[in-house]
This record gives sequence, structure tokens and C-alpha cells, in this order.
Amino acid sequence: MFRKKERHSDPLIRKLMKLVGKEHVLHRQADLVAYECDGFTLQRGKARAVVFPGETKEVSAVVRLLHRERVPFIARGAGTGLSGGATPLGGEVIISLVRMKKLLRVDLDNRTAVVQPGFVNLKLTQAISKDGYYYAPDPSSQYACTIGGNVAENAGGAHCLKYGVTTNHILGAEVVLPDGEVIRLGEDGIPDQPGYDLLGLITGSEGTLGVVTEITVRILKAPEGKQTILAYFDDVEDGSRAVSDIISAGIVPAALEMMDRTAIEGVEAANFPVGHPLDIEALLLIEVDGIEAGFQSEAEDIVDVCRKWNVREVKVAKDEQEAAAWWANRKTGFGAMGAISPDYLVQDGVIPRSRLPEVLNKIRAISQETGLRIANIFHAGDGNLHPLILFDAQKPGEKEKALQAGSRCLKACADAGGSITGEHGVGIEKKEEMRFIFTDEEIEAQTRIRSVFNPDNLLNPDKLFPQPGRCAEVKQEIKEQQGLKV
Amino acid sequence: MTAMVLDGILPAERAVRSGPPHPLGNDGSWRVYPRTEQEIRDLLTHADREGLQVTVSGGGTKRGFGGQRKRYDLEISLAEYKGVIEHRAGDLTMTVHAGTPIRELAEVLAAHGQMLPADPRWPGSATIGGVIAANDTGPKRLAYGAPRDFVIGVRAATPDGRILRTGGKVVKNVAGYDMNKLWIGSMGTLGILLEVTVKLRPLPPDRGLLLIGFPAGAQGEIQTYVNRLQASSLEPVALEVLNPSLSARMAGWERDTLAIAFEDRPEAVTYQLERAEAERSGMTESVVMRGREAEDWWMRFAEITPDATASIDPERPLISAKVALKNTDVAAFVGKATEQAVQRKLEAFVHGGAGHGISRVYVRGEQEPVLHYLQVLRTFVEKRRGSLVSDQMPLSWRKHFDVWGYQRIPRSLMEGIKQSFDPNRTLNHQRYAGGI
Ligand SMILES: Cc1cc2nc3c(=O)[nH]c(=O)nc-3n(C[C@H](O)[C@H](O)[C@H](O)COP(=O)(O)OP(=O)(O)OC[C@H]3O[C@@H](n4cnc5c(N)ncnc54)[C@H](O)[C@@H]3O)c2cc1C
Repeated sequence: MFRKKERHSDPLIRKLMKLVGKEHVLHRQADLVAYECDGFTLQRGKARAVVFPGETKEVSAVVRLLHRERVPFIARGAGTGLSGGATPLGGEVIISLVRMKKLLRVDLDNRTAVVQPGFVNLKLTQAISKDGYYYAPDPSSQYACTIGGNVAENAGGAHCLKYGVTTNHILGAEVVLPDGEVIRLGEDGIPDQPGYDLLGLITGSEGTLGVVTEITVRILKAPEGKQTILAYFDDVEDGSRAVSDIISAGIVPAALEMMDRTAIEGVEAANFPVGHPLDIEALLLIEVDGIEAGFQSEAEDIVDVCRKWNVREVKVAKDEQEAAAWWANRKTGFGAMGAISPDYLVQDGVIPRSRLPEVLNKIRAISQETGLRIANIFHAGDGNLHPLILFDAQKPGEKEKALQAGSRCLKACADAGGSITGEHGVGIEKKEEMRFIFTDEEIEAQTRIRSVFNPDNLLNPDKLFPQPGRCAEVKQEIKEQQGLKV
Repeated sequence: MTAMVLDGILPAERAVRSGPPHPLGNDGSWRVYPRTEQEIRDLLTHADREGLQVTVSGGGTKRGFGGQRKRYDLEISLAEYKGVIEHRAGDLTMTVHAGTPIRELAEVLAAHGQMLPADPRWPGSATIGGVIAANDTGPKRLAYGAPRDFVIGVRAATPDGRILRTGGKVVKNVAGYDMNKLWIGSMGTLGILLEVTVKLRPLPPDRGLLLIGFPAGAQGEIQTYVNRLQASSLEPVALEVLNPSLSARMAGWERDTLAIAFEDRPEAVTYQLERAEAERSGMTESVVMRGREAEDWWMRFAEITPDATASIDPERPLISAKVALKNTDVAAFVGKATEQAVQRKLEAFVHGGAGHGISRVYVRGEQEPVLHYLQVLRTFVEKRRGSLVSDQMPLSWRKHFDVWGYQRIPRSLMEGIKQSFDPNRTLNHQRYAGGI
């Protein structure tokens, strides 16, 4: 009785069910809890419903309906985002793309693959590795995150130093615009379609310009071979200088990652320990790949650079298993903080890599001043820092303190000529920090572009840009709509 | 526009009254050479306020690229707005004024063992700003990417007087929209690029070039060879197919040629050259070049024809087109474009990147046969979902040939973007795709 009544209470839900099928709409409070946030858990909101379209036509029909009814909506992939991009602020309908998870085509001769947005990143490499190919962007969350989400966030990963981030690997997309119109950008993976580079613009737009329903990606031939090197340093500065010298030596490693002492304590206490000494200040995990004859000597040069900077120990992985263990230890680094702290906040700043020692010192000072431990795990080669701020949400005021410490880390990056995010996006988390790097006019230039695609700001409203005042308006609007319809 | 007005903005010797309109179009009644950001901003806002039409140029190598107008009121040349602003060698990034010629950059960088990851045409005169605005790329795009891959930040002036920065100075950055992308290939229709920040690469320790000559008409064989190479673990930085007439100039034989480049440590270059050689069939002949010699070959390749600043033969002007296709259609396209040229007794240089999909056609001839030739090629290309854009053609011809071709991007989005930067249509009006 109660359920039936609830189902019929909101005409919008009925209409959504009609479009995608009853079983593909969630609307009961208990079912919506899982959609209150993404991987950024410090802020939550309630969605009005979650719909699971099965094909582009359904996405378009749902969007048309929501557009007509002036109901805000959000696209969502796996919900692993770390800046709150897929988090509802209150009253949005979430369009989940997880049912659209097919690998549609692979064309090895042209090195392209076509996937649906809900297709999980790692599955692509798994599907083509038997033929010797792989998909380069490898966020640490690749076992779970979707390629649609990667496009929206312009995701990066450990191997982006040499091979570039998501945007460098996206050749085409089918996009449902916020009014329901379906457009295609790029045909068959052919480059340089005449006209403004909308594909490049949509990549990294955090789901505010359109819902991506199909993606053509570039795939790469696996390198002839690779070598993984691990170096332990007693001094963070020595490690940082080694990073700079490797780059100055004209070597472009496939990956160049760093972890500091607190981070090492975390990964060694978690599920994938590899026996890193706990008393070192920094480790570098470096991978070189390509033509065997070339990278062998590169690896030797890297070992020499590490020695020059007083490395305590440097070793080359003896086989693939050992390299894989080192990588698993690194790639599960964020989650590993759970082993040494009740809660943690992942930050994501970028600096010119030559400023590494200076910014790391500033982060250390922030840690001392706030009394919160900060672990650093990062893509050192491209200057992309991930300070992990450890805290205990049970302790009054600590969450706020952690957020503040995170913001101060970003300020330190911005002040060093860097950016407030290298791969996790702005979402709701870093909206205000946008002001650290952009003027009001520059932010406005971007919101004008949003208006071209999303004039009513119905698609993922109030994300990405600081807009005092605006937020209140939309919430009021949502309340009014709900008031009218409930 | 009057001399007096210009006078108030920049010294008289940097404002030149133009002679008769250039046959390629895209010039202005006045040409000015600003040297400061303030001058550029003042010129642009003045024009915008007064309803004057503005075009922008760098080295002038793309003067024949797009555009319907007989003439603009003002040509703002960035030829004197040049130089390196900051080279952060340790960060592999550089910020430069938009008017800096590519070769000047390359020289500064080479002294530090670095390079701009780009090999556009006419590097001596083409400027970094122009290369970005026209999205010009060369054969090594296969490995090094296009402007969309190496531009990490831009500072630009819009007609309403705004100075906008997009992106930043770091190699990885997802703060806000990736607005950098809007400048790339947009033919100066949104703003004037003032400064650009680019991502650099270390200069390769060694270079190797293998030229393989195939028997005429052996497109299938070229493709088979390319597929085999691409399925191996070799890492060519260029896989360029050259037609026989271009080969005659570049390789000394009149055959279809595949130019394969490797850039890596010497031992890796040697190994790859040997493997690529071993894979070729008995029907072919080959030449190997190394180091400086290989580099010089590519330098010549970047200047296959004179650029648009050369004098123009009004009867038989040089026409060029850029074609984008799937990689596996490139060899076939080069064959088709060659065969069609021979049939029409046109002289055509054609080459295409079998690993990156961009081909180029340079043809000389009279208007009717040449335009018909391009139309036939466009049909071939569009059937394969690609595009053909003519990037050099006299203005008078452009009245009879839509240089941009079929538009797939919705007009409302194109117009909306233009509107949000240049609502009065002051900049490079009608120069871009869809008449924007
Ligand atoms: C442990 C862990 C490690 C991580 N490591 C990395 C890393 O190394 N590098 C990195 O870059 N990120 C990393 N992330 C962040 C996250 O995984 C990425 O941002 C990822 O791209 C998000 O994908 P998703 O499918 O989970 O998207 P969601 O979180 O569901 O959505 C993210 C954003 O994309 C939008 N969106 C989703 N799908 C679509 C679509 N089809 N069309 C339009 N918009 C859409 C949403 O509206 C939202 O704004 C990590 C996250 C975790 C939890």
C-alpha cells in the first residue's frame, strides 16, 4: 500500500519509468542513499531519483523530459570522482550510465576503440592486451571508474607523464546536449574535424556541457619492454632533485611517482605491502619503456642520477611480478590511508616540477600548524601532488580543519605558479579555490561557454565555478518545483 | 580608420597603408605592427567600438586560408610581437609571444637540448600563434601530437577589451574548462593570441630516416607494410607516404615512397632501422639517413612548396589542401589524388601520414580543372567520413569553392562560442568554418 502510493506520488518518476522501464528507476529514500555523494564524502545531498538508461535514445528521451520540466540532472559513472562532481546538491535526477557498458568496436589497424560511457577503464586494456595493445590513461581507480567519467574529469594516471592524459586519447564522442539533442564530435576517430574543438572542450567539463553516450578512444601498441626502478631516499629534497635531474637528462620516463614517509607507513600497513623500509623519507617509483636497446641505457642513467643524490638503495624490478607488486602498492595508496587514519581527504594540486622541494616544505608547515598528518603520494614527473590529509571526523572540528588544510595546500600550489587540480576536477570541493588561479572575468568567460551548451544550467548545476548567490537561487527553484509537484 | 587614430595608439612608422588588395585576400587597408599588449588591446577595442573589421596575421603563411571578404579595415600583424618570455628548462615548459617564428623558438630550445614537439610547415616564417590558430601539423604528429597536445596555456585579447588567460603554466591541469582548446584551429575568430605556454620535449639523442620506394601504384603493398610495422613494437615518429612527383624531389626516384623516422637513443634507432629494413619486400628500394642528414631532410620536407608570402602566378596559382582520414585510408588517398592529377595533367605533390591520418595536396593549375579536382577528392574523402579543407587558394577562387566543406558541428554551438568572445563579429569575420 505504502509503496504503491509512494510510486505514484511524483508524476516525474512515473514519466521516467515510462521512458526507461520501472526497474531502471530508483526513487525510494533508502535506495538513494548510495547516491548522496561520490568519492568526495565530506559533502552530501539528496537526489530526486536515479535513472538507468540502456541506450543513447533513452538518455536523450530522459534529458528531453527533464529539460522540458526544468528539473536539474547529473550524469554519473561509477561515482569514484574525488571532487563531488557527481554529488547531488538536492533534488537532481541522476542519470547513471552504468548499464551502457559495452565495448562496441575495436579497430587495431587504426588503433581505435569505441566504448559506451559506462565501460570500465581497465576492461579496455584487458580486452585488447591479448593482441598487444592497451589504453594509456590509467587512473589508480581504473578497476572501477568509467571511461565516460574519465572523459568528464579528463582523468590522468601514473603513465600520463609520457603518454598524456585522457584528452590526448579521445578521438570522438557522441553527446546528448542538455536539451536532449544528440550530436557527434569526430567521425570514426578521424582527427581535426573543421570547427571549434568541442571534443577538447567537453573533455574535462565535469559533466556540465553534455552527457557523453559513446566514446572513440585511441589505443596504443604495448611497448617492446619496460623496466621498473625503485629508489629509497633519506631526504625528500634529494628525491625531488633526482626527479628534476632525470627529466633534465632528456629522459621521459613512462611514470615517475613519489611517496613520502607517512604515505609509506600507510601502504605498508594496508593490503599490498612490499617491504619498503619505514624509516626512509621518500621513495621514487620509476618506469621506463619503449625499445629495449634504448630504455636499458635510460634505466642505467636513472640509477646513476639517484646515486648522485645520495640514494640509500636503488633497485630494478627483477621480473614482472615484482614490478606489479610495487605498482599495486602504489596504486592502492589512497585507500591505504584507511589503515593509519579513520578518515582522509585527497587533494590534487599541480606545480612546476622544479618547485617540488619548496612546496613540499610548505605542505609540511601546514601539517605542523594544523596538527593534522599529511601524507604525500604523487605524480612527481608532472608535478601533480596528492597531499592526503589524515583526520578523524568523529573529533569535533577536524573535518573543517582538514578541508582548510587542503585548501591551503592548493593555495601553496597556486602561489608556486601551479594549478588547484591536475586530474580530480573542481566539482563542488574546489569551486572557491578557482579564484586562486582565475580572475572573475576569466571565470565568467567559462560560464559563458557553459551557457552556450547548458543555458538553463540544468545539467550538473552549481559545480565547477564559484558563484555566490547563484546556488541559493537554484535551490529555491528546486524547492518550489518540488513544492508544486509533491 | 584614419592615420590619426592609429597615431594615437602606435607610432606612425608601425602603421602602413596597404597597396592593392592581396590576391589571397585576408589583408587590411592598414597594416599595423604593435609591439605591446596595450597596443594590441587598444587597436582591437578601438576597431570593435567603431565597427571596423580586423584580421590578424603572423608570418603571413596562411594568408590564403579561408575568408570571403575582399579586405578588412585593419590587419594586425604580430610579426613584431615576438620573443621568448620565459623558458623554464627544468619544467620543460616555455612561454612566448605569439608572433615568434617556430625556428626562432627551436633555436633557443636546441641550446638547452630541448624542442617544441611540432614540425609545422615553413618554420622560418610561420609563428607559434599562427600555427596554433591554423592547427598546422607535420609528419611527426604521429609521435609528438598536435597543438591541442602541447599548448598548456594562452593569454589572449578579445575584441571587447578583455585579456583572458586559459590553462596555466603546468603540464597537467583540469581546473575549469579546457578553454585552451578553443584557440586551436579557430583561425583567430575568438581573440588575438598574445602569449602561449607550451609543453616541451627533450631533443632526441639520435634520428634515423628510412625511405622506401615502392613500385608505382602499389598502395596496397604500402598499406600492408604499414600495418605490419604498426603491429610490431617499433615506434616510428613518422610514417609518411609521398607520391611519385614529390618523391622525385625528396628521394630522387619517381616512385611511391614511405618515409619512416625513428628518434631515440642511437642503439634504439639502429635497431629499429634494421628491423624496418628487414620487413620490406624485394620490389622496393631504400635509402637510410642518420642524424643531421635525417634532420635536414625533414627541414626540406617542411618547405615542399613556397609559403603564401611568395609571389603568385595569377594564371596557375599554387593551391593546397589538408585532408583528414582514417589512418588506413591514407595510402589509398595518396594514390587516388595522384591518379586524378595525372588524368587531368595537373602537377600535384601529395603526402599523407599513415599513422596520424592527415594528408596534404599541393596542386598548380588553372581554376576550373583544379577546383574540379579538389571536388572529386572531397567526394572521395567525405564518403569515408573525413574532411578536405583548402588552406591556400586565391580569394577569387574561394567564391567558387567552399574551402571548409561539409559542416558536421551544429551551427548553434559554433555561433554561440563566437558570440561569447566576439559578439560584434570584429575578428576575422567569415574566415572560419560555417562562415563564422
Ligand atoms: C581510489 C581512487 C583513486 C583515484 N585515482 C585517480 C587517478 O589516479 N587519476 C585520476 O584522474 N582520477 C583518479 N580518481 C578519481 C576518479 O576515479 C576519476 O575522476 C574518474 O574519472 C571518475 O570516473 P567515474 O566513472 O567514477 O565518474 P563519476 O565519479 O561517476 O563522475 C565524475 C564526473 O563525471 C561526470 N560524468 C560521469 N559520466 C559522465 C558521462 N557519461 N557524461 C558526462 N558526464 C559524466 C559526473 O557528472 C561527474 O561530474 C581516483 C578515485 C579514487 C576513488
